[in-house]
Amino acid sequence: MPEPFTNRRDFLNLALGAWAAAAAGGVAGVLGASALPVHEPPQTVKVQKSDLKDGIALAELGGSPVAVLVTPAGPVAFSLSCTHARCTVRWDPAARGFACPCHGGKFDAEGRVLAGPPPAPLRRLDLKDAGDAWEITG
Amino acid sequence: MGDHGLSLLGALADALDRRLGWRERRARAIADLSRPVPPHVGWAYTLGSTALALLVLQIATGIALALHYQPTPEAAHASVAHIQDRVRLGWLVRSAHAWGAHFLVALLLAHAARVFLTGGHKKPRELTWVLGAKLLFITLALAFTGQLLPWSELSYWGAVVGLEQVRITPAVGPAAGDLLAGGPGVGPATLTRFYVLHILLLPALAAALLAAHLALVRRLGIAPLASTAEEDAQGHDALCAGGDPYVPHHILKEAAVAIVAAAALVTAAALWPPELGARAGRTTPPGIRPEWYFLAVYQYLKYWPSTIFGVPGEKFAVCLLIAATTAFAALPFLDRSPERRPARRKLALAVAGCFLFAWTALTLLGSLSENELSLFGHHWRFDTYGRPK
Repeated sequence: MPEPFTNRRDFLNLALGAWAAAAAGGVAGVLGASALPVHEPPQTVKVQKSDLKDGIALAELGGSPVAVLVTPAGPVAFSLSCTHARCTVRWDPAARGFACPCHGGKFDAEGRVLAGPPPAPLRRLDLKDAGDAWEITG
Repeated sequence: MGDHGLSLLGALADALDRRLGWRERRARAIADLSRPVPPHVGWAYTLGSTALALLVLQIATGIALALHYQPTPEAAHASVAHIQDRVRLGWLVRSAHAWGAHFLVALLLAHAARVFLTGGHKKPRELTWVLGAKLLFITLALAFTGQLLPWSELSYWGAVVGLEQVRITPAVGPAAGDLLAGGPGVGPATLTRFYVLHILLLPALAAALLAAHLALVRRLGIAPLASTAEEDAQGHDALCAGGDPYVPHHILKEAAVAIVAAAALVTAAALWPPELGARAGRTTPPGIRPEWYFLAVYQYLKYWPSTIFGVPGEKFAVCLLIAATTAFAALPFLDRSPERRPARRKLALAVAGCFLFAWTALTLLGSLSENELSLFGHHWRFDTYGRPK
Protein backbone atom coordinates (compact mmCIF):
# COMPACT_ATOMS: atom_id res chain seq x y z
CA MET A 1 0.00 0.00 0.00
CA PRO A 2 1.50 3.37 -0.97
CA GLU A 3 2.18 5.97 1.69
CA PRO A 4 -0.66 8.48 1.93
CA PHE A 5 -0.17 12.11 0.98
CA THR A 6 2.85 11.44 -1.25
CA ASN A 7 1.14 13.29 -4.03
CA ARG A 8 -1.74 15.64 -4.55
CA ARG A 9 -3.97 13.09 -6.32
CA ASP A 10 -3.89 10.63 -3.38
CA PHE A 11 -4.51 13.43 -0.92
CA LEU A 12 -7.46 14.80 -2.89
CA ASN A 13 -8.96 11.31 -3.34
CA LEU A 14 -8.68 10.68 0.38
CA ALA A 15 -10.12 14.12 1.22
CA LEU A 16 -13.01 13.57 -1.20
CA GLY A 17 -13.71 10.12 0.26
CA ALA A 18 -13.65 11.48 3.82
CA TRP A 19 -15.93 14.34 2.84
CA ALA A 20 -18.40 11.96 1.15
CA ALA A 21 -18.40 9.65 4.19
CA ALA A 22 -18.96 12.57 6.58
CA ALA A 23 -21.76 13.95 4.41
CA ALA A 24 -23.44 10.53 4.18
CA GLY A 25 -23.07 10.10 7.95
CA GLY A 26 -24.58 13.54 8.57
CA VAL A 27 -27.55 12.89 6.29
CA ALA A 28 -28.10 9.46 7.89
CA GLY A 29 -27.89 11.05 11.36
CA VAL A 30 -30.46 13.74 10.57
CA LEU A 31 -32.85 11.25 8.91
CA GLY A 32 -32.36 8.73 11.73
CA ALA A 33 -33.08 11.34 14.41
CA SER A 34 -36.21 12.49 12.58
CA ALA A 35 -37.43 8.89 12.35
CA LEU A 36 -37.44 8.43 16.14
CA PRO A 37 -40.91 8.60 17.67
CA VAL A 38 -41.87 11.57 19.83
CA HIS A 39 -42.80 10.41 23.33
CA GLU A 40 -45.95 11.95 24.73
CA PRO A 41 -46.01 13.14 28.37
CA PRO A 42 -48.27 11.18 30.78
CA GLN A 43 -51.94 11.76 30.07
CA THR A 44 -54.98 11.90 32.32
CA VAL A 45 -58.51 10.64 31.75
CA LYS A 46 -61.63 11.06 33.89
CA VAL A 47 -63.75 7.95 34.54
CA GLN A 48 -67.26 8.64 35.82
CA LYS A 49 -68.20 6.58 38.85
CA SER A 50 -71.65 6.14 37.26
CA ASP A 51 -69.90 4.10 34.50
CA LEU A 52 -69.26 1.27 36.97
CA LYS A 53 -70.71 -2.07 35.85
CA ASP A 54 -70.03 -5.35 37.67
CA GLY A 55 -67.57 -3.40 39.84
CA ILE A 56 -65.46 -2.23 36.88
CA ALA A 57 -65.41 0.89 34.66
CA LEU A 58 -63.63 0.88 31.29
CA ALA A 59 -61.92 3.85 29.62
CA GLU A 60 -59.21 4.75 27.13
CA LEU A 61 -55.97 6.53 28.03
CA GLY A 62 -53.65 7.70 25.25
CA GLY A 63 -55.23 5.20 22.89
CA SER A 64 -54.85 2.24 25.25
CA PRO A 65 -57.60 0.50 27.23
CA VAL A 66 -57.64 1.08 31.01
CA ALA A 67 -60.05 0.22 33.83
CA VAL A 68 -60.97 1.17 37.36
CA LEU A 69 -61.76 -1.89 39.46
CA VAL A 70 -63.48 -1.52 42.81
CA THR A 71 -61.91 -3.98 45.24
CA PRO A 72 -62.58 -4.47 48.97
CA ALA A 73 -59.46 -2.35 49.59
CA GLY A 74 -60.78 0.46 47.41
CA PRO A 75 -60.66 1.45 43.71
CA VAL A 76 -57.58 0.44 41.66
CA ALA A 77 -56.69 1.58 38.13
CA PHE A 78 -55.08 -0.87 35.68
CA SER A 79 -53.80 -0.78 32.14
CA LEU A 80 -55.71 -3.54 30.35
CA SER A 81 -52.81 -4.26 27.96
CA CYS A 82 -51.53 -7.75 28.72
CA THR A 83 -47.89 -7.59 29.80
CA HIS A 84 -47.12 -10.47 27.44
CA ALA A 85 -48.09 -9.32 23.95
CA ARG A 86 -50.27 -6.22 24.57
CA CYS A 87 -53.61 -7.84 23.75
CA THR A 88 -56.51 -6.36 25.75
CA VAL A 89 -57.39 -8.48 28.79
CA ARG A 90 -61.07 -8.93 29.78
CA TRP A 91 -62.59 -8.78 33.23
CA ASP A 92 -64.33 -12.00 34.19
CA PRO A 93 -66.78 -11.05 36.98
CA ALA A 94 -67.48 -14.69 37.86
CA ALA A 95 -63.82 -15.60 38.31
CA ARG A 96 -62.99 -12.12 39.66
CA GLY A 97 -59.91 -11.95 37.44
CA PHE A 98 -58.60 -10.79 34.06
CA ALA A 99 -58.11 -13.19 31.11
CA CYS A 100 -56.17 -12.55 27.91
CA PRO A 101 -57.77 -13.86 24.68
CA CYS A 102 -54.47 -14.17 22.76
CA HIS A 103 -52.22 -16.61 24.63
CA GLY A 104 -54.27 -17.62 27.67
CA GLY A 105 -52.70 -15.31 30.28
CA LYS A 106 -54.70 -14.94 33.54
CA PHE A 107 -54.47 -12.26 36.26
CA ASP A 108 -56.23 -11.91 39.61
CA ALA A 109 -58.12 -8.82 40.80
CA GLU A 110 -54.84 -7.38 42.10
CA GLY A 111 -53.32 -7.72 38.61
CA ARG A 112 -50.98 -10.55 39.67
CA VAL A 113 -50.18 -13.29 37.13
CA LEU A 114 -52.09 -16.52 37.81
CA ALA A 115 -51.38 -18.49 34.63
CA GLY A 116 -49.96 -18.31 31.12
CA PRO A 117 -47.01 -16.51 29.60
CA PRO A 118 -47.28 -12.93 31.00
CA PRO A 119 -43.92 -12.06 32.59
CA ALA A 120 -45.23 -9.26 34.87
CA PRO A 121 -48.43 -8.15 36.65
CA LEU A 122 -50.85 -5.77 34.94
CA ARG A 123 -49.53 -2.20 35.08
CA ARG A 124 -51.14 -0.12 37.81
CA LEU A 125 -51.96 3.51 37.06
CA ASP A 126 -52.18 6.52 39.36
CA LEU A 127 -55.74 7.13 40.53
CA LYS A 128 -57.17 10.23 42.20
CA ASP A 129 -60.69 10.64 43.58
CA ALA A 130 -62.37 13.69 42.01
CA GLY A 131 -65.86 13.59 43.49
CA ASP A 132 -68.18 11.85 41.06
CA ALA A 133 -65.27 10.65 38.92
CA TRP A 134 -61.77 9.19 39.16
CA GLU A 135 -58.76 10.72 37.45
CA ILE A 136 -56.35 8.16 35.99
CA THR A 137 -52.84 9.19 34.97
CA GLY A 138 -50.27 7.07 33.15
CA MET B 1 -49.98 -2.12 -41.60
CA GLY B 2 -48.72 -1.56 -45.17
CA ASP B 3 -45.17 -1.56 -46.52
CA HIS B 4 -44.93 2.13 -45.89
CA GLY B 5 -45.73 1.71 -42.21
CA LEU B 6 -43.27 -1.18 -41.88
CA SER B 7 -40.48 0.77 -43.50
CA LEU B 8 -41.23 3.67 -41.15
CA LEU B 9 -40.90 1.31 -38.17
CA GLY B 10 -37.69 -0.09 -39.66
CA ALA B 11 -36.30 3.40 -40.10
CA LEU B 12 -37.15 4.19 -36.47
CA ALA B 13 -35.47 0.96 -35.31
CA ASP B 14 -32.38 1.83 -37.43
CA ALA B 15 -32.27 5.34 -35.99
CA LEU B 16 -32.50 4.04 -32.43
CA ASP B 17 -29.88 1.36 -33.17
CA ARG B 18 -27.41 3.99 -34.38
CA ARG B 19 -27.90 5.87 -31.11
CA LEU B 20 -28.28 2.98 -28.60
CA GLY B 21 -26.64 0.02 -30.35
CA TRP B 22 -29.53 -2.15 -29.17
CA ARG B 23 -29.22 -4.81 -31.93
CA GLU B 24 -25.74 -5.79 -30.88
CA ARG B 25 -26.71 -5.73 -27.19
CA ARG B 26 -29.71 -7.93 -27.89
CA ALA B 27 -27.62 -10.41 -29.89
CA ARG B 28 -25.07 -10.57 -27.10
CA ALA B 29 -27.75 -11.05 -24.44
CA ILE B 30 -29.43 -13.85 -26.41
CA ALA B 31 -26.07 -15.57 -26.99
CA ASP B 32 -25.34 -15.29 -23.27
CA LEU B 33 -28.79 -16.57 -22.27
CA SER B 34 -28.56 -19.45 -24.76
CA ARG B 35 -25.74 -21.13 -22.85
CA PRO B 36 -26.83 -24.58 -21.66
CA VAL B 37 -28.05 -25.23 -18.12
CA PRO B 38 -26.77 -28.39 -16.33
CA PRO B 39 -28.41 -31.56 -17.75
CA HIS B 40 -30.35 -32.39 -14.56
CA VAL B 41 -32.15 -29.03 -14.51
CA GLY B 42 -35.88 -29.51 -15.04
CA TRP B 43 -39.29 -28.42 -13.80
CA ALA B 44 -38.20 -28.10 -10.17
CA TYR B 45 -35.93 -25.25 -11.26
CA THR B 46 -38.79 -22.94 -12.24
CA LEU B 47 -39.91 -21.83 -8.76
CA GLY B 48 -37.66 -18.77 -8.44
CA SER B 49 -38.69 -17.29 -11.77
CA THR B 50 -42.35 -18.08 -11.00
CA ALA B 51 -41.98 -16.13 -7.75
CA LEU B 52 -40.48 -13.28 -9.79
CA ALA B 53 -43.48 -13.31 -12.15
CA LEU B 54 -45.91 -13.21 -9.21
CA LEU B 55 -43.88 -10.40 -7.63
CA VAL B 56 -44.47 -8.32 -10.77
CA LEU B 57 -48.20 -9.10 -10.48
CA GLN B 58 -48.05 -8.14 -6.79
CA ILE B 59 -46.52 -4.75 -7.67
CA ALA B 60 -49.20 -4.16 -10.31
CA THR B 61 -52.12 -5.00 -7.99
CA GLY B 62 -50.43 -3.05 -5.18
CA ILE B 63 -50.28 0.10 -7.33
CA ALA B 64 -53.95 -0.35 -8.28
CA LEU B 65 -54.90 -0.64 -4.58
CA ALA B 66 -52.76 2.37 -3.60
CA LEU B 67 -54.87 4.55 -5.94
CA HIS B 68 -57.86 4.15 -3.60
CA TYR B 69 -56.33 3.32 -0.20
CA GLN B 70 -56.12 5.99 2.55
CA PRO B 71 -53.49 5.34 5.24
CA THR B 72 -55.09 6.81 8.38
CA PRO B 73 -56.83 4.88 11.20
CA GLU B 74 -60.02 6.87 10.55
CA ALA B 75 -60.17 6.23 6.80
CA ALA B 76 -58.19 3.01 6.16
CA HIS B 77 -60.90 0.45 6.88
CA ALA B 78 -63.57 2.40 5.00
CA SER B 79 -61.27 2.89 2.00
CA VAL B 80 -60.61 -0.86 1.76
CA ALA B 81 -64.36 -1.48 2.06
CA HIS B 82 -64.76 1.05 -0.76
CA ILE B 83 -62.24 -0.90 -2.87
CA GLN B 84 -64.17 -4.13 -2.18
CA ASP B 85 -67.67 -2.83 -2.74
CA ARG B 86 -67.54 0.19 -5.05
CA VAL B 87 -64.38 0.18 -7.16
CA ARG B 88 -64.87 -1.73 -10.43
CA LEU B 89 -63.25 -5.17 -9.99
CA GLY B 90 -61.69 -3.77 -6.82
CA TRP B 91 -62.64 -6.94 -4.92
CA LEU B 92 -60.67 -9.01 -7.43
CA VAL B 93 -57.60 -6.75 -7.30
CA ARG B 94 -57.58 -6.81 -3.48
CA SER B 95 -58.17 -10.56 -3.41
CA ALA B 96 -55.36 -11.17 -5.93
CA HIS B 97 -53.00 -9.00 -3.84
CA ALA B 98 -53.88 -10.90 -0.63
CA TRP B 99 -53.62 -14.30 -2.31
CA GLY B 100 -50.41 -13.17 -4.02
CA ALA B 101 -48.75 -12.88 -0.59
CA HIS B 102 -49.66 -16.51 0.21
CA PHE B 103 -48.45 -17.73 -3.19
CA LEU B 104 -45.23 -15.72 -3.01
CA VAL B 105 -44.28 -16.97 0.48
CA ALA B 106 -45.11 -20.57 -0.50
CA LEU B 107 -43.11 -20.33 -3.75
CA LEU B 108 -40.09 -18.80 -2.02
CA LEU B 109 -40.12 -21.52 0.67
CA ALA B 110 -40.36 -24.20 -2.04
CA HIS B 111 -37.60 -22.48 -4.04
CA ALA B 112 -35.32 -22.41 -0.97
CA ALA B 113 -36.09 -26.07 -0.27
CA ARG B 114 -35.23 -27.03 -3.86
CA VAL B 115 -31.96 -25.07 -3.75
CA PHE B 116 -31.02 -26.69 -0.43
CA LEU B 117 -31.93 -30.22 -1.62
CA THR B 118 -29.78 -29.90 -4.75
CA GLY B 119 -26.88 -28.16 -2.98
CA GLY B 120 -27.28 -24.95 -4.95
CA HIS B 121 -26.29 -22.85 -1.92
CA LYS B 122 -22.75 -24.21 -1.86
CA LYS B 123 -19.55 -22.64 -3.09
CA PRO B 124 -19.30 -20.46 -5.15
CA ARG B 125 -23.00 -19.47 -4.79
CA GLU B 126 -23.01 -18.62 -1.07
CA LEU B 127 -23.81 -14.96 -1.66
CA THR B 128 -26.73 -15.86 -3.96
CA TRP B 129 -28.23 -17.86 -1.07
CA VAL B 130 -27.65 -15.10 1.48
CA LEU B 131 -29.37 -12.57 -0.79
CA GLY B 132 -32.21 -15.02 -1.42
CA ALA B 133 -32.70 -15.57 2.33
CA LYS B 134 -32.87 -11.80 2.83
CA LEU B 135 -35.43 -11.57 0.03
CA LEU B 136 -37.54 -14.20 1.84
CA PHE B 137 -37.33 -12.18 5.08
CA ILE B 138 -38.29 -8.99 3.22
CA THR B 139 -41.26 -10.81 1.67
CA LEU B 140 -42.39 -11.86 5.17
CA ALA B 141 -41.92 -8.25 6.36
CA LEU B 142 -44.00 -7.07 3.38
CA ALA B 143 -46.72 -9.55 4.34
CA PHE B 144 -46.63 -8.39 7.97
CA THR B 145 -46.71 -4.66 7.18
CA GLY B 146 -49.35 -5.13 4.48
CA GLN B 147 -51.63 -6.98 6.86
CA LEU B 148 -52.02 -3.94 9.13
CA LEU B 149 -53.13 -1.63 6.32
CA PRO B 150 -56.87 -2.57 6.26
CA TRP B 151 -56.99 -1.64 10.00
CA SER B 152 -59.34 -4.53 10.70
CA GLU B 153 -59.50 -6.36 14.04
CA LEU B 154 -57.29 -9.19 12.82
CA SER B 155 -54.76 -6.92 11.17
CA TYR B 156 -54.56 -4.53 14.13
CA TRP B 157 -54.06 -7.18 16.81
CA GLY B 158 -51.68 -9.11 14.55
CA ALA B 159 -49.49 -5.99 14.43
CA VAL B 160 -49.77 -5.47 18.22
CA VAL B 161 -48.63 -9.02 19.00
CA GLY B 162 -45.99 -9.06 16.25
CA LEU B 163 -44.45 -5.77 17.39
CA GLU B 164 -44.32 -7.08 20.96
CA GLN B 165 -42.09 -9.93 19.73
CA VAL B 166 -39.80 -7.31 18.21
CA ARG B 167 -39.75 -5.33 21.46
CA ILE B 168 -38.79 -8.34 23.57
CA THR B 169 -35.59 -8.90 21.55
CA PRO B 170 -32.70 -8.24 23.95
CA ALA B 171 -30.67 -5.01 23.50
CA VAL B 172 -32.10 -3.56 20.26
CA GLY B 173 -35.73 -4.71 20.72
CA PRO B 174 -37.33 -1.74 22.53
CA ALA B 175 -35.69 0.84 20.24
CA ALA B 176 -36.51 -1.16 17.09
CA GLY B 177 -40.12 -1.58 18.26
CA ASP B 178 -40.47 2.16 18.94
CA LEU B 179 -38.93 2.98 15.56
CA LEU B 180 -41.26 0.60 13.72
CA ALA B 181 -44.41 1.56 15.63
CA GLY B 182 -43.63 5.27 15.95
CA GLY B 183 -44.59 5.15 19.64
CA PRO B 184 -45.29 2.78 22.52
CA GLY B 185 -48.45 1.22 21.03
CA VAL B 186 -50.00 0.61 17.61
CA GLY B 187 -51.56 3.89 16.53
CA PRO B 188 -51.76 6.39 13.65
CA ALA B 189 -47.94 6.67 13.51
CA THR B 190 -47.70 2.89 13.15
CA LEU B 191 -50.05 2.84 10.19
CA THR B 192 -48.06 5.59 8.43
CA ARG B 193 -44.78 3.80 9.10
CA PHE B 194 -46.05 0.40 7.97
CA TYR B 195 -47.48 2.03 4.84
CA VAL B 196 -44.13 3.66 4.00
CA LEU B 197 -42.33 0.37 4.67
CA HIS B 198 -44.84 -1.59 2.62
CA ILE B 199 -44.99 0.56 -0.50
CA LEU B 200 -41.60 2.31 -0.48
CA LEU B 201 -38.71 1.10 1.68
CA LEU B 202 -39.15 -2.68 1.57
CA PRO B 203 -39.94 -2.83 -2.19
CA ALA B 204 -36.90 -0.62 -2.95
CA LEU B 205 -34.69 -2.83 -0.78
CA ALA B 206 -36.16 -5.96 -2.37
CA ALA B 207 -35.56 -4.58 -5.88
CA ALA B 208 -31.88 -3.89 -5.11
CA LEU B 209 -31.32 -7.33 -3.52
CA LEU B 210 -33.24 -9.05 -6.31
CA ALA B 211 -31.12 -7.35 -8.98
CA ALA B 212 -27.97 -8.59 -7.21
CA HIS B 213 -29.48 -12.09 -6.73
CA LEU B 214 -30.33 -12.38 -10.45
CA ALA B 215 -26.99 -10.93 -11.57
CA LEU B 216 -25.25 -13.60 -9.48
CA VAL B 217 -27.45 -16.35 -10.92
CA ARG B 218 -26.48 -15.21 -14.43
CA ARG B 219 -22.81 -14.79 -13.58
CA LEU B 220 -22.33 -18.13 -11.78
CA GLY B 221 -24.91 -20.17 -13.68
CA ILE B 222 -27.24 -22.78 -12.17
CA ALA B 223 -25.38 -25.16 -9.85
CA PRO B 224 -24.57 -28.59 -11.29
CA LEU B 225 -25.17 -31.72 -9.21
CA ALA B 226 -21.43 -32.43 -9.22
CA SER B 227 -19.53 -31.63 -6.02
CA THR B 228 -17.98 -28.22 -5.50
CA ALA B 229 -14.55 -29.85 -5.93
CA GLU B 230 -15.55 -31.26 -9.34
CA GLU B 231 -16.95 -27.89 -10.38
CA ASP B 232 -13.70 -26.22 -9.33
CA ALA B 233 -11.65 -28.74 -11.27
CA GLN B 234 -13.70 -29.00 -14.46
CA GLY B 235 -15.35 -25.60 -14.64
CA HIS B 236 -19.08 -24.85 -14.84
CA ASP B 237 -19.28 -24.93 -18.66
CA ALA B 238 -17.91 -28.50 -18.88
CA LEU B 239 -20.54 -29.72 -16.38
CA CYS B 240 -23.33 -28.14 -18.48
CA ALA B 241 -22.39 -30.16 -21.58
CA GLY B 242 -25.46 -31.98 -22.88
CA GLY B 243 -27.89 -29.67 -21.06
CA ASP B 244 -30.69 -27.69 -22.69
CA PRO B 245 -29.97 -24.09 -23.64
CA TYR B 246 -31.57 -21.69 -21.13
CA VAL B 247 -33.17 -19.76 -24.02
CA PRO B 248 -35.43 -21.08 -25.46
CA HIS B 249 -35.76 -24.46 -23.70
CA HIS B 250 -35.65 -23.81 -19.96
CA ILE B 251 -37.19 -20.36 -20.10
CA LEU B 252 -40.24 -21.92 -21.77
CA LYS B 253 -40.64 -24.28 -18.81
CA GLU B 254 -40.37 -21.26 -16.48
CA ALA B 255 -42.97 -19.39 -18.50
CA ALA B 256 -45.33 -22.40 -18.47
CA VAL B 257 -45.12 -22.80 -14.67
CA ALA B 258 -45.47 -19.03 -14.14
CA ILE B 259 -48.62 -18.99 -16.29
CA VAL B 260 -50.12 -21.95 -14.39
CA ALA B 261 -49.27 -20.27 -11.06
CA ALA B 262 -50.80 -16.97 -12.18
CA ALA B 263 -53.93 -18.83 -13.36
CA ALA B 264 -54.18 -20.62 -10.00
CA LEU B 265 -53.75 -17.29 -8.22
CA VAL B 266 -56.50 -15.59 -10.20
CA THR B 267 -58.78 -18.62 -9.71
CA ALA B 268 -58.24 -18.61 -5.94
CA ALA B 269 -58.69 -14.83 -5.85
CA ALA B 270 -61.97 -15.01 -7.77
CA LEU B 271 -63.41 -17.95 -5.81
CA TRP B 272 -62.30 -17.12 -2.28
CA PRO B 273 -61.86 -13.36 -1.76
CA PRO B 274 -60.63 -12.59 1.77
CA GLU B 275 -63.08 -11.06 4.20
CA LEU B 276 -62.33 -7.56 5.39
CA GLY B 277 -63.65 -8.14 8.92
CA ALA B 278 -64.70 -5.57 11.48
CA ARG B 279 -62.80 -2.32 12.00
CA ALA B 280 -60.14 -2.52 14.71
CA GLY B 281 -61.38 -1.66 18.19
CA ARG B 282 -59.88 -1.58 21.65
CA THR B 283 -60.98 -5.08 22.60
CA THR B 284 -59.06 -8.07 21.35
CA PRO B 285 -61.34 -10.54 19.57
CA PRO B 286 -61.01 -14.15 20.81
CA GLY B 287 -59.22 -16.76 18.71
CA ILE B 288 -57.03 -14.44 16.65
CA ARG B 289 -54.09 -16.16 15.03
CA PRO B 290 -51.51 -15.14 12.44
CA GLU B 291 -51.27 -16.24 8.80
CA TRP B 292 -50.08 -19.82 8.18
CA TYR B 293 -46.46 -18.80 7.60
CA PHE B 294 -46.22 -17.26 11.11
CA LEU B 295 -48.28 -19.98 12.87
CA ALA B 296 -45.25 -22.12 13.80
CA VAL B 297 -43.50 -19.17 15.47
CA TYR B 298 -46.75 -18.10 17.18
CA GLN B 299 -47.21 -21.58 18.64
CA TYR B 300 -43.52 -22.07 19.49
CA LEU B 301 -43.57 -18.94 21.68
CA LYS B 302 -46.40 -20.37 23.80
CA TYR B 303 -44.39 -23.29 25.19
CA TRP B 304 -41.83 -21.13 26.96
CA PRO B 305 -42.28 -20.51 30.70
CA SER B 306 -43.19 -16.94 31.60
CA THR B 307 -39.85 -16.45 33.38
CA ILE B 308 -36.53 -18.32 33.41
CA PHE B 309 -34.21 -17.22 36.24
CA GLY B 310 -36.30 -14.06 36.57
CA VAL B 311 -35.93 -13.17 32.89
CA PRO B 312 -39.04 -13.37 30.62
CA GLY B 313 -38.92 -16.77 28.91
CA GLU B 314 -39.78 -15.17 25.58
CA LYS B 315 -36.44 -13.38 25.59
CA PHE B 316 -34.77 -16.79 25.34
CA ALA B 317 -37.34 -17.91 22.78
CA VAL B 318 -36.73 -14.87 20.58
CA CYS B 319 -32.93 -15.25 20.89
CA LEU B 320 -33.21 -18.88 19.73
CA LEU B 321 -35.44 -17.76 16.85
CA ILE B 322 -32.93 -15.11 15.79
CA ALA B 323 -30.15 -17.71 15.97
CA ALA B 324 -32.20 -20.07 13.78
CA THR B 325 -33.00 -17.43 11.14
CA THR B 326 -29.36 -16.31 11.13
CA ALA B 327 -28.30 -19.93 10.66
CA PHE B 328 -30.76 -20.20 7.76
CA ALA B 329 -29.32 -17.11 6.07
CA ALA B 330 -25.75 -18.29 6.75
CA LEU B 331 -26.47 -21.90 5.71
CA PRO B 332 -23.72 -22.10 3.03
CA PHE B 333 -21.14 -21.35 5.73
CA LEU B 334 -22.50 -24.06 8.07
CA ASP B 335 -23.32 -26.81 5.56
CA ARG B 336 -19.78 -27.00 4.14
CA SER B 337 -19.38 -30.48 2.68
CA PRO B 338 -18.42 -30.37 -1.02
CA GLU B 339 -21.22 -32.80 -1.98
CA ARG B 340 -24.36 -31.60 -3.74
CA ARG B 341 -26.13 -34.89 -4.52
CA PRO B 342 -28.83 -35.45 -1.86
CA ALA B 343 -27.84 -39.12 -1.45
CA ARG B 344 -24.39 -38.07 -0.25
CA ARG B 345 -25.62 -35.48 2.27
CA LYS B 346 -27.53 -37.68 4.70
CA LEU B 347 -26.64 -35.66 7.83
CA ALA B 348 -27.58 -32.29 6.31
CA LEU B 349 -30.87 -33.71 5.01
CA ALA B 350 -31.62 -35.36 8.37
CA VAL B 351 -31.10 -32.05 10.23
CA ALA B 352 -33.25 -30.20 7.66
CA GLY B 353 -35.88 -32.96 7.96
CA CYS B 354 -36.04 -32.44 11.74
CA PHE B 355 -36.57 -28.70 11.24
CA LEU B 356 -39.26 -29.33 8.64
CA PHE B 357 -41.01 -31.79 10.97
CA ALA B 358 -40.90 -29.34 13.91
CA TRP B 359 -42.13 -26.49 11.72
CA THR B 360 -45.00 -28.56 10.32
CA ALA B 361 -45.97 -29.89 13.75
CA LEU B 362 -45.96 -26.39 15.29
CA THR B 363 -47.98 -25.05 12.36
CA LEU B 364 -50.61 -27.78 12.87
CA LEU B 365 -50.70 -27.24 16.66
CA GLY B 366 -50.97 -23.49 16.05
CA SER B 367 -53.95 -23.92 13.76
CA LEU B 368 -55.65 -26.33 16.22
CA SER B 369 -55.01 -24.27 19.37
CA GLU B 370 -58.15 -22.66 20.83
CA ASN B 371 -60.02 -24.23 17.95
CA GLU B 372 -62.44 -27.09 17.28
CA LEU B 373 -62.18 -29.99 14.88
CA SER B 374 -64.73 -32.55 13.72
CA LEU B 375 -63.28 -35.70 12.16
CA PHE B 376 -64.77 -39.18 11.64
CA GLY B 377 -67.77 -38.36 13.80
CA HIS B 378 -65.62 -37.18 16.71
CA HIS B 379 -65.53 -33.63 17.93
CA TRP B 380 -62.46 -32.20 19.63
CA ARG B 381 -61.71 -28.89 21.27
CA PHE B 382 -58.10 -27.86 21.75
CA ASP B 383 -56.50 -25.68 24.42
CA THR B 384 -53.98 -22.92 23.82
CA TYR B 385 -51.14 -25.48 23.58
CA GLY B 386 -52.97 -27.53 20.96
CA ARG B 387 -53.87 -30.35 23.41
CA PRO B 388 -57.38 -31.85 23.17
CA LYS B 389 -59.51 -30.62 26.08
